[in-house]
Amino acid sequence: MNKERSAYQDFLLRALICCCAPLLLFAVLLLSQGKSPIAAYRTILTAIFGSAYGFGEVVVRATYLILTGLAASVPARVGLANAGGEGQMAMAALGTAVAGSTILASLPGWIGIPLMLLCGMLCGAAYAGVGVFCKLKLGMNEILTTILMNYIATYLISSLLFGILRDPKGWNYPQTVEVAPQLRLKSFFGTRMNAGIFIAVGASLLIWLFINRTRIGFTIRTIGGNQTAAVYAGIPVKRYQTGMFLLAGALAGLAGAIMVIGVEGRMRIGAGETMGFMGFLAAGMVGSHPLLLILSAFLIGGLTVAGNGMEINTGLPAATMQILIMLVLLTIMAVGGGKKK
Amino acid sequence: MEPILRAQGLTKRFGTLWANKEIDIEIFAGEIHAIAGENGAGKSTLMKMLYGVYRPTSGTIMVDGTVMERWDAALAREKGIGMVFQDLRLVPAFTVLENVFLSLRQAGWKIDRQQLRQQILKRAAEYRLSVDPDVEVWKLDLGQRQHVEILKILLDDQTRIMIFDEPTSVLAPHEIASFLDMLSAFRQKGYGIFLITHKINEILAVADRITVLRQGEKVREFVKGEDFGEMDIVKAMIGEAEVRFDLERPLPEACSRSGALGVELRGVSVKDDHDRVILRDVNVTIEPGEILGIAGISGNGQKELAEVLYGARRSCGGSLFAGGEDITNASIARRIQLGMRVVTEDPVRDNVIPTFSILENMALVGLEMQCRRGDVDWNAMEEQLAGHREIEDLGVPAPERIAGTLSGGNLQRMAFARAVISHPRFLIASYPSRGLDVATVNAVHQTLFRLKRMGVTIVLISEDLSELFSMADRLLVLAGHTASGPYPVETCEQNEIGKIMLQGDTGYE
Amino acid sequence: MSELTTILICMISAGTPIIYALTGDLIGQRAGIISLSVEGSMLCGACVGFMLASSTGSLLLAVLGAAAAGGAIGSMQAFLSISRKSNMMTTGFILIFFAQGLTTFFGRGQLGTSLGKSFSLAIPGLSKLPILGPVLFSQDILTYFSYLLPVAAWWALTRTRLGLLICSVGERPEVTEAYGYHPKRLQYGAVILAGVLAGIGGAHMSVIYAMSWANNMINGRGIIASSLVILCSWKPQRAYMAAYLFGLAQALQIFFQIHEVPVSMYVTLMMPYLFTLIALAVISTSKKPSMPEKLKIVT
Repeated sequence: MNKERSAYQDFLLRALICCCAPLLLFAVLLLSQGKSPIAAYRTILTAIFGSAYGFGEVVVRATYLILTGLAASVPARVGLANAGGEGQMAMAALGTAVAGSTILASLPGWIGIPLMLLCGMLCGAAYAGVGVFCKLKLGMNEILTTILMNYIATYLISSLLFGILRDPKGWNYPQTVEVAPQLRLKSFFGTRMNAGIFIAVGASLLIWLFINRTRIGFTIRTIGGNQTAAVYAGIPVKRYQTGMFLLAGALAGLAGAIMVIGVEGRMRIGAGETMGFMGFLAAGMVGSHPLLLILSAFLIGGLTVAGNGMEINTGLPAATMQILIMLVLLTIMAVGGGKKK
Repeated sequence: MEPILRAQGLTKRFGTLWANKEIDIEIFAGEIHAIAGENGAGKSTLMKMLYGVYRPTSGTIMVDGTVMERWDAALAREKGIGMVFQDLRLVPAFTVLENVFLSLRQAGWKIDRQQLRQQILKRAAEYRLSVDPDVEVWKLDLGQRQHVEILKILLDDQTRIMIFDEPTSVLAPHEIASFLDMLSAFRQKGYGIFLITHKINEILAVADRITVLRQGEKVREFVKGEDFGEMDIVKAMIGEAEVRFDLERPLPEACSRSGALGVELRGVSVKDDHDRVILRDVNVTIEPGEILGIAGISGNGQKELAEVLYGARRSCGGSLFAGGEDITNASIARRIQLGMRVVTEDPVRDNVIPTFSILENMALVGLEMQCRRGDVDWNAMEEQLAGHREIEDLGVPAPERIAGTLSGGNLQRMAFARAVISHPRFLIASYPSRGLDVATVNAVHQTLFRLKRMGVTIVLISEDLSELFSMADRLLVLAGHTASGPYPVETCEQNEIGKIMLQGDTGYE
Repeated sequence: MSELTTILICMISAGTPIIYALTGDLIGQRAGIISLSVEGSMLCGACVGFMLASSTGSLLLAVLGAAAAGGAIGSMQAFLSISRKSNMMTTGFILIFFAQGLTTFFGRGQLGTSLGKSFSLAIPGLSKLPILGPVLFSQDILTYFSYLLPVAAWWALTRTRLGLLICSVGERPEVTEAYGYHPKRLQYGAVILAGVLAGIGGAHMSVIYAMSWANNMINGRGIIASSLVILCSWKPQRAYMAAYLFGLAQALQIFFQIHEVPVSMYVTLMMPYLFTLIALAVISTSKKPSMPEKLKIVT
């Protein structure tokens, strides 16, 4: 009894450190530059909660982060790491944008929108397929290959947007032709918030149910728990790993598709940048738990939105907020993961 | 004469276990002091305390008559104590020379390959050690690695005391004789030598003094020249006659053979993790319903053979048949379908999911899967588990316990019980009784016999010859990269098998 | 200057930062820790190095500052992945973004300024050699030092006690400990050294190669260096080959420009990453016996 209580107190203490230490360190950093931390924290709060638009932005970011976070969590359950959510999301966004302005452009919305999402998932899964091929057939480290593939995706997309895919009527701006209007998701409340968030939250619920409440999920948890034991139990581990990695690519692809049909309406250069990386970190923050991921996605999403607000209000670069996010993550790692088990 | 090292009242406790209790021991220059005792008698613990690896719970250590206030491995080295460990302390990726260099602190910060090579070769010639300084250690066999270990100690000029922990367990018989000669040569040079062993003939051949340990306590000390014989030492080692549980070999007519699966190996060769052939051209037919014992010093291909049988490792030649079906390239899943089961030598590593409960672990090729609405029906599974008597017989922990929080022995019992209740037709059991208490060992043996009666073919891998002789119908001996036999148990002697086991590499490369 | 010379000069200067980060991370990996954070160390080194170079005009101070900044990131990697046993890849990843944030924040005043001064230093005599002279010996002090670095690392890792100890930690830490050394301290040393060297490499990027500071200017070179360690089979003497292969991929850009090949600039920018990926895929088909044992568990 006593022991349990002290474990509980220990947990609270760690949680408290995780909340306070980053804020304090960040305040010191701001003070060193002659900026007021109080004003900065106020800016963060007003950027997130000050207006419907701001909060809508947080929801939009959280949508991407939940899905790219799932893209990192799902392979983690079978002993793989997918750091390629960034590239998978971007390639999917490009694919969806192209499909939405060409072959799918004349379809009605009720069939077109699901097909657009499917298209994004297929593109993401295909790009992830290269990574899992390198891992399982060639024995390459999947983190390194997927990161390298993120860079390749970025440059490939840039070259296409500056080249053959550039919208001829887009004032020379590097972006594709806009997708057909009936294929777009509606925005709510005058913000950029859209139905995508329901898809994302639904996906994380489904993934949680799939892993924890199904027979296949039991097999997956077996692989994650001890791969050797899974092999000895006759489970075709590589086949499951391939499947889960492709599913991860599809989830990241879903984020790309939602970005195109929900927010951007087209693929433009730099759209959705860093959302894949941040999703990977959001998943790492909660130990790849699909439901807790929703919380961490909102936290990181909120802070990135606040970064933009900070740039406008205090003149500090938006990347400043990246410092705060990483301080949170580093503290969590340093105090031994307050959320681990 | 003053002993180099003397310890008084040495005690070491691990939790509730007294590994060593009030032990007095000493060693003089130029003597061989044998430490005899069965496995688990506390020999290694005692030596690790003298070498400074373990901190004694109580007791004093004196070097040259001075009481040591502080005692650790670095100080022990400084005072001239060197130890050849059972698990040899070498970096496999390094050459012999690099390994020797690392161990010699006084060799400076920079390697002088030329000079060190000379030194190594000189010492090696002096004691007839076969060592090539420029070959990587992973390419050496265990006997050669031991020579490297010995060289490390010899090249340290401070060394006065050498501790050998079960040195002959890795050697072939013809190597043992020359090894004992080498020990005598060290004695002549004035080294004090501790020889940990449980082999009586070695003790009688070289020891000047014998300390016998039993269950952590010093029970007797013999000095050469006193009137004692082989049987006196044996009695001191094993104490009063052991409680023997009666194991009755099931009569052939009591065994059903209809369900059992026979496996045939034709010219099977296997590579180990270092990509070297460890077993060459194994031909054996495992008859349905028999218990085939696999004898041999561990590390001679037992693990690899078990993995090839179960399909966790590909053979590099030859083919396997199970009940007439070619399973050479069949998946593990197919083998499981055929009724093949395995308990590996390290079940905690290979067979257990640490984050799962016992019940969930039991569901992996153990309990029959019962599903309800797409999910595993855990309530039904728990009922099913309770219906198996082996769970109680073998002392499997409660179903809701998390595996990762349990001891290795508990998990070993669970993995064994799981294989037993899974309706096997062919069971590979690697060291199923290792590290278990007597009562559980008995339960394991009874269970194996019951399986045999029910019509299960069993491959029993063990290092314990008495276990093999009381359980198996035939014995296959792994040694020197080949499998000899199988020999029917009724018609052969333990000594013969022992001889084959300890044969070196005959006709290999 | 001939076309070949230009391409080779570019190859050398693009390869130099990679040599630093690659050699550093190689030593860390031999000790059993992969530092993806060398990317972050390079960024910090580039930023701090540039700040010091432009404010003091001293290359020495710039390099020292860059080394310290890189080492600081390295020590965070070391603390988290050695003492806290967190996943080294994730840790490295976080540290990259942390460094990105920090350098964007502190480097915001340096954006757009250009270093008034060039630190190139031709070696008298040698620089007059045909082709080799301008390519190899009309560079700068950091480049000359980079010629020696892999050989020095090779010598240290195979010929000195410290080097062998570092390698033994990556293979069998329990043996290292049995000899009375401290595996964790050795790992700390190796990982921090990786950060220090990467920091110096970063300084070369900003102070000598680009002569300016731009946000996220390292842009994956540290990650490439980490990956190229595999291509070197953990042997430092192969760092030249790997780093200059990367340099060559970068130098292709000039080739394309000279010949007016109609290829998008972004495709040429993509080349180094694609090269690395393909090189890794090719090397992966051969066996990896030289991989440190402790890394086999991780990857």
